[in-house]
Amino acid sequence: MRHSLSYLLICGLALASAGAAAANTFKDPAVTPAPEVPNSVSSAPLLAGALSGTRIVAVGLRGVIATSDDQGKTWKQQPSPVSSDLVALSFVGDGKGWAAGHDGVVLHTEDGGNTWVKQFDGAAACKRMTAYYQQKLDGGDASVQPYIMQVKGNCGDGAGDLPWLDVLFVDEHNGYLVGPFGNIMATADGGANWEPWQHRIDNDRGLHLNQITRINGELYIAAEQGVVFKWDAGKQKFKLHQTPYKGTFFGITGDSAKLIAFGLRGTAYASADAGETWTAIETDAGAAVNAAATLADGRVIMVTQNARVLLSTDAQARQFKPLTVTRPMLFADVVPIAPDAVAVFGTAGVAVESLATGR
Amino acid sequence: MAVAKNSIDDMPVIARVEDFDRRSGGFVERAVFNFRGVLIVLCAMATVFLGWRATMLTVNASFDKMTPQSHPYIRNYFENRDALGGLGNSVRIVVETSGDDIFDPDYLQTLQKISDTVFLIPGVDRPWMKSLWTPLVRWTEITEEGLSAGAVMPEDYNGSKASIDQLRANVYRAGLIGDLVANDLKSSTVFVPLLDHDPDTGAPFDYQRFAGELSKIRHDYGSDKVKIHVVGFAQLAGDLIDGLYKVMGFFAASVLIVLAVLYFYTRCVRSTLLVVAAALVAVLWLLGIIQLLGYALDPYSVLVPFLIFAIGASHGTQKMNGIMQDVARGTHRYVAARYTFRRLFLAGLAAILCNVVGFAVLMVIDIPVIRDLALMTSIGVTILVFVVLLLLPVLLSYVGVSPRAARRRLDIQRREALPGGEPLGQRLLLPFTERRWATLAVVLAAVVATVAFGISRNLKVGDLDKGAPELWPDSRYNRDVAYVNEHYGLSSDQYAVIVKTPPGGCEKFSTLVEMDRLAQTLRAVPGVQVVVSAADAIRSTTTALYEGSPKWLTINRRENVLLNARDYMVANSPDLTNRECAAAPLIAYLSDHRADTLERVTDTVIAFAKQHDTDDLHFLPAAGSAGIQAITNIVVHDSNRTMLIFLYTATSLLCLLAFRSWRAVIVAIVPLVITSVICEALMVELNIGMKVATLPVIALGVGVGVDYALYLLSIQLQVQRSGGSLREAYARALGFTGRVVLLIGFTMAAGVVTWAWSPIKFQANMGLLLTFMFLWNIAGALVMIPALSYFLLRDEGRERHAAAVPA
Repeated sequence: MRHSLSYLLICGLALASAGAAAANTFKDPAVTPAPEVPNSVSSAPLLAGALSGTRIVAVGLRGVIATSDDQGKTWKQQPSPVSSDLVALSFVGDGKGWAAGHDGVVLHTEDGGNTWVKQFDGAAACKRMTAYYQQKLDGGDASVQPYIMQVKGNCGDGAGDLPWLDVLFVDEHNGYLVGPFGNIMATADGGANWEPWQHRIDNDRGLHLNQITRINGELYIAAEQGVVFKWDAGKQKFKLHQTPYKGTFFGITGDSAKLIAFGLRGTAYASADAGETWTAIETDAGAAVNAAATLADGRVIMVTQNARVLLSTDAQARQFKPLTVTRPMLFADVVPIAPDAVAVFGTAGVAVESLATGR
Repeated sequence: MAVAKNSIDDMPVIARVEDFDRRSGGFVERAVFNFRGVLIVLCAMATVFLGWRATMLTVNASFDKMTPQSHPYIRNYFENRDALGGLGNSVRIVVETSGDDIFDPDYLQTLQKISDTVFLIPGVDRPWMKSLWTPLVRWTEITEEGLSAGAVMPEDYNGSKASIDQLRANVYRAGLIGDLVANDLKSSTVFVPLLDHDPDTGAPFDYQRFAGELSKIRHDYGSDKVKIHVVGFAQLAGDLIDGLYKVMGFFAASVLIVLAVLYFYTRCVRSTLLVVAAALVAVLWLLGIIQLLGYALDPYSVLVPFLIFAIGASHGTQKMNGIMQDVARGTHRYVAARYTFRRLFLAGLAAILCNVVGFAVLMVIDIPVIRDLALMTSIGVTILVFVVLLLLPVLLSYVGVSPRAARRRLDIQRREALPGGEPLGQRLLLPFTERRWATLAVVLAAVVATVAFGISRNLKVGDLDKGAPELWPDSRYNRDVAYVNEHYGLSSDQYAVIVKTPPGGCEKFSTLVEMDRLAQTLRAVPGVQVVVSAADAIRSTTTALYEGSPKWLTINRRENVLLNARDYMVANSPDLTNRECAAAPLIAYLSDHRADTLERVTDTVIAFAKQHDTDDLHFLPAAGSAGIQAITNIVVHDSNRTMLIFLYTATSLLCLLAFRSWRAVIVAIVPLVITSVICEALMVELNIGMKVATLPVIALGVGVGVDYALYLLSIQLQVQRSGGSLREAYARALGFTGRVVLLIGFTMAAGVVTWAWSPIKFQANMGLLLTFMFLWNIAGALVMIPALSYFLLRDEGRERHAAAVPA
């Protein structure tokens, strides 16, 4: 019985110390470094990849950042200042890159992905947007009134719930962030300062902006409801282009000869005139195309929600053939890493697929 | 001790009852024998009444009673079990086809019949039942217009190829592979959630009846084309109850073995039958009292009648033995019964008290089945005081023993008294009272004990086999579990962490992020295969809200997004949170339930909770089969130590009281300790882990084993203290009680050895180990007591005797 008593005492102490431990406070993922992933980082959920020189860099859920210096054979987890889910990545050369994702976080590296600092987050973005448009309104510009409303709606209580769905830097100074509910910002100083751009896009409906990309020197944004936005340098504004499609585009890929916008249920539309007119093409994907890339020879590679990798039979990209997939998963991104190889990223990590098998 | 206080020499042979002074003997003896008719009538009435109650005894297999109830982690489970409904109380009926796959009209028709039959079984939570035939099983697809959905079984299903193709497509788009449909497409599942209480009558769920319905389904629909596998708590409980009935059948075998042992020893039919009958009456009383106290027989307590029967039979035999000796000399059976009572009542009482101590220390273990076992055994042993120590001698005073058997006994005694006529046992054992053999025995015992101790260090806590630990690895249930694990890819070893918040707190961003962090931490623990929680479910439902884009595989901060995602999640996996959203299980599926795996998981959870618990968020271990086992392991490990300390302290004190010599205590206890150590080594060799069921083994083994020492040493010391040499004293002890020791050992072993064939694994483990303990303790006592006495008790009585002479 004595044992039971001392046991009770110990349990009591444990409870008391648990009570003391309850002084823990919640550590927000936007300010909490990413933990080391269990097992190998190459099997952690990775949502985006990019090349920095010959190095492959990838980001994913829970702030995970991974790099490979041997064409994707081995991967190393790099320290990340946040544990927010990262969904997009952009590199411009000289090892300069940016990652973006949920909680509105933007991370920056100057050394090809070894070290990262947080440049921006959702709370800062809301503050910046509110201040920016309020200042304009105070300056007498009544046209910004809708943006004030929009920002208010998107930021809610300002807790920083404004996610970014894509980041694009066209050089080491100029970059863009796009997100849901029409959120868009731009920087001209490498991410030190971000300017709200809601007034520089024809997006009255507040459509989700899923991806931003530069093809043949032109900027495009893939959006909901079959909408593609294209930068109009003359008007200094993203101009809305309505395709015949009614559903969501997750992205746009292409080269000087063509644009391919892709999205739900294997839908893809091609444009041969830089986005003016679009025609449907057959992908045979069967499920949403989550990402696509155009190879140097003009062929287009797509990855889908139902674990398929599809390669166009030629540079026209009118017809697609499935590749044998070594690691089936829900794919989120594809990055060409060699003339005949792509790295594919998704919920089960990263794999390198050879393009030779599909021919 | 009073064992030989009234030695046989003080009791003159009285051939005629009339010559006997009825006023002789102690108060109890006079009370019992002078009113022996009254005693018999009272006992007969008690037997009828308790026998009637015994027929009302129920059986069950309560899993709660096998868990350490007051451990704080188990309290966590009990306090939150409503929120953990999906974890325990459901069965999966897996219907396997011998054909190519399940997309076959005949198979689907059988499945429909099974599904419909199950639907009607009382206790099934019908709205949540899932099979390919229930409307709850739906597919959803994201389209440009939003979500489209439908039942997986096409509404116009007619068995045609077209409708089967439609079904196949629906199964794929609903993502049922690995969930309701096996990965190899050769089986599909009827998932049957069960209600704790009947909604109409409020009666608790009847496992026995449900198991009966399940075996009917197996019988009606199982064929060479369709195999049926059932896994889940209710099936396991049913199988345990089946096992229980089978073990009850073993009781008859034990009775027969004991009959044989007794007859071999006495060669007297009537007294053998009488002794066995008395032991059976004791068992009947025990069952009646258990029923009166509101207990039911469970897989542990079903073993108590065996023990009580064996103890009763061995004590009864001693009575019979005593009477036979007196009758053989010509004493009348009535007088012989009274003499025997006079001689043996106190000794028997002392031995029974020792047994009670052995059982009672089990009460310190905080596991209800063990406490019940201890309580029932203590009650049973107390009954033996009445039935075997009081009633049996009275009955023998009427019945007597067969004169032929009595003569045989006398012949043997005479023969043995002749020079060179010592029985083989004496010739073999007496050398151990001398230097050479004593040294050899002690050295050998030391070596064996050391080796055994070394081996016993590898004793693992917990169960070491795959599948449900209660049953054998190759039992039908565990084969079914293996089939389901293999074809559906989820382990049955679930460790659930209870995530506790104020109502509504489970869908808060911070809660979900912390759950996600714990899930991620657990994924890094070796032995963890998959972790499932609301955090992961929210991630995947959030992507569904955003058209399946992997960029939304996230836990969003926005309250309305989380709320939407949770609504969607509750519709798909209702068991991931409770209704108030105040408790949510986080389930880790483990590769096995070995103790070190469980310990790693528990340690990880506790360390995480320490770092992450806040006033509004607590991570509590443990639930799920593996979680409860993890806590049980901790308690078993701690209890084992406590129990051993109590056991040996109590036994040593009893011995000290009896012998009044600490040296004698060492002589009595050391053989028991060696047997305990060898028993642990044996467990290692037989791959039996230390678990709830093995805890009582050592206590029972020591409790019964100390009897042997009490019998032998009390006579040995008595002779030594009246001036005899060690050899003489031990020879006397052997002659007087050596046979009794053998007899107790063998009857006890006979009582439990049949368990070894039990379909319930832990009973078989107990049977094997107890048989070993009971038998090995005989050898330990007979060899080690003289050998140790040579070193410790050689001079016992000498100085007292020497001191007494000049005075």
